[in-house]
Amino acid sequence: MSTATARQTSGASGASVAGSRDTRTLKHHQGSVNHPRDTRVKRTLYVIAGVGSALIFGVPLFIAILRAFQPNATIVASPTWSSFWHFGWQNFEAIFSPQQHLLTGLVNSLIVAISTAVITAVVATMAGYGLSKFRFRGSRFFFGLILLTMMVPFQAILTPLYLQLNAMHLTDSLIGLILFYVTVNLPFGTFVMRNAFDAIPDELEDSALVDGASRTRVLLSVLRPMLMPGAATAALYAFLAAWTEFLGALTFLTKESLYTLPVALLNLQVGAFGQVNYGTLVAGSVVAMIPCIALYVGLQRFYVAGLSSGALKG
Amino acid sequence: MDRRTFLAGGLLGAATLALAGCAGALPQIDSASSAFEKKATGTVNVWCRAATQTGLASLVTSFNKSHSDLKVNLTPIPDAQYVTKLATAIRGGQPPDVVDMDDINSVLFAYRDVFADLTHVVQGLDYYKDLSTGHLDLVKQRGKIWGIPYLADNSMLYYNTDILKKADVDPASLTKGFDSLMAAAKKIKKLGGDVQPWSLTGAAAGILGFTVQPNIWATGTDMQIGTLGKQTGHIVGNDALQRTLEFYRQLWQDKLVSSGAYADQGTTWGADFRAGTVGMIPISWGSVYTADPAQLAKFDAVLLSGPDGGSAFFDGGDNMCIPNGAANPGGGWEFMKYATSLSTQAALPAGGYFPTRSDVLTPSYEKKYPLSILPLKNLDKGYAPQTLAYNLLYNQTASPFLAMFREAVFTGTVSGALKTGQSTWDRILEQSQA
Repeated sequence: MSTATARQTSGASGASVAGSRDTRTLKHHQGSVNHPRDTRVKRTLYVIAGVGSALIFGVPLFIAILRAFQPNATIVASPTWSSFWHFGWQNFEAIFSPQQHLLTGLVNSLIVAISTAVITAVVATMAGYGLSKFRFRGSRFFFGLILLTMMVPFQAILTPLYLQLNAMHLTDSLIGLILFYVTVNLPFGTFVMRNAFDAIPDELEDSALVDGASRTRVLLSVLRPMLMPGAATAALYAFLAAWTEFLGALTFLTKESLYTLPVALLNLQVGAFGQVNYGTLVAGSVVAMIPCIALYVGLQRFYVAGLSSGALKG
Repeated sequence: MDRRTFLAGGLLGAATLALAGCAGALPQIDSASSAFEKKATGTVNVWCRAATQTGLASLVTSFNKSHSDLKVNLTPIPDAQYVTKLATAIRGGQPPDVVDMDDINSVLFAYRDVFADLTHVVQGLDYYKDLSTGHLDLVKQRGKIWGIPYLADNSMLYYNTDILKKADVDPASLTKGFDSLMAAAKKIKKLGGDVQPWSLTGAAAGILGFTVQPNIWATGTDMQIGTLGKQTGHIVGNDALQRTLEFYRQLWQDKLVSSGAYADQGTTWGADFRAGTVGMIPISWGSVYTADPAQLAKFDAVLLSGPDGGSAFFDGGDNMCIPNGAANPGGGWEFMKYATSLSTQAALPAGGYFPTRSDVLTPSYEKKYPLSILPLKNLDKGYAPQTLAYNLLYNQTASPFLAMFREAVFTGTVSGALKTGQSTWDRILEQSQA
């Protein structure tokens, strides 16, 4: 959650910085009334703030990557210059050794997280469409009910969830896990998508319908470009939640060959009495963050727009 | 209490309730039945905890190689989630065939009647009399035996012989009580430099439970009294406990432990000792044996002593049990016999654990693993508390043992900590025994 919050903050500050740059450019074109010295001060402050922010977010990542190449004994020992330069691949060799099944965990996590993201985005889009553009009795009540489920942590109902999935023969199955993650992520996805639909004027849809387009056509051709930020936000949230989720995966899976990355990683890192192998921990973290960073960078444009849409129309 | 601790506590509570609800729901297995007599075939699903998975994985590989028609599938479970996951699986009617679990948690499951009665086959083993009594006592309930010890994780007081020699400390004095230990620590302190007399992880609940309690047990008393299921706390008026807390308080106040002890959560437990910068540390072999061979040669150990002498050690480690409803109990027992065979047991110290069979002691074994023989030669000094609330009382971050230790040693007074501890102990025991 903290990571997501950090990303939101980062995205928001990025948007704000971009906004201030646009404003500055506009003023420049209009013939700025600011004194040149003020502009220089602002620019300097902007550079300092930008570099500072980049360091705050970048240095921990850099240290993590650096540490991933150091043996555990070096990481936990008092830092010395001589031992600091002991770099090697031993942590990655350890986590990717055939006995550890980490590669299998990585593939399982990718299957589960991508499927969860896609299904959540599709179902949330349809739910948002229905709740926003179709008037029916109790729509507000149902929307409230959906939001209410966000208040109940699934950990509190873990045993009934397990029994239900077990009765449906969906334990020890990645499909069962995907359905579970979709269920958990749908309330937020529906919330985002309903707001995304609310932001679109009814007249746009009406004119398409008058022109003879079907509901499906309206959704896929006319509204789709405007829905992309919301859908990307819902998908990204669902992906990250599924990618990092631990307790559900541990409870609903009992075959090591089906374990997802968080479970496989924890088994590798934590010893008796809470001891931690920091070498494998940090190497595993570096491996685990690669897809998240790739996806975030790929969807950043949509993500920021989707967030602000949700914030304003809630 | 933070959110994580709250959820962990809630989950454990829910798991306990789920366990209570499922007691007796699965088909009972009796080792005296024919299922245990016929030749087992097929697949055996074994769960182990992550901390011991490396050794188990090698064991399973060799077992599968030596058994053509019986195969073992091993599933490692993170230690902290083991109880919750097992309770949920049993409640769902899908238990594994064998659970290799922290012996301290086997008490709870045996008490709730969810394990197969193994009395017949365990007592029939020709090495039954050689098994670790501390481990076995945890699964001996209502006159029956519900499991078998697999590996031992014993706490002892390890020391660096080089440092003790430089400080002119006789290692034999380390068994004579707190005054001798304090005197030894003060001598080591005088060496100066970066050498610490004693290593303490003052914010690590599980480690403190593992290393501090034997000081109390050495006097023959425990912190819970009464029969299992009807226990109360023995905190106020527990002289051994009070003196143990005072001893640790003195270590802290006299700066005989690192200043980092206050916040040390034990994630790098033993790293300072392995590096050769600590004189004494109560710890397990599993956190010592990975030291550089040159350092390892300098280490030796004694059993943990009480305030005025005596000795004890924590009989931690794993017990293996077969849950009722297991699909292949005969295969499970075959694997358990293999796991407790002499050759398997004799190789355990190479993976950081001790055997649970004292008959492994041979001259060649003693020469190979000299640091492992003390518990095996003193099986009667090994102990592990039999209580239904061990995790809640000792292992969790929010446990009253950790709170009491920290208040007594770092922040408050010993008497105040004992008073608060008594009421918390009684409340938790009452709730978990309901």
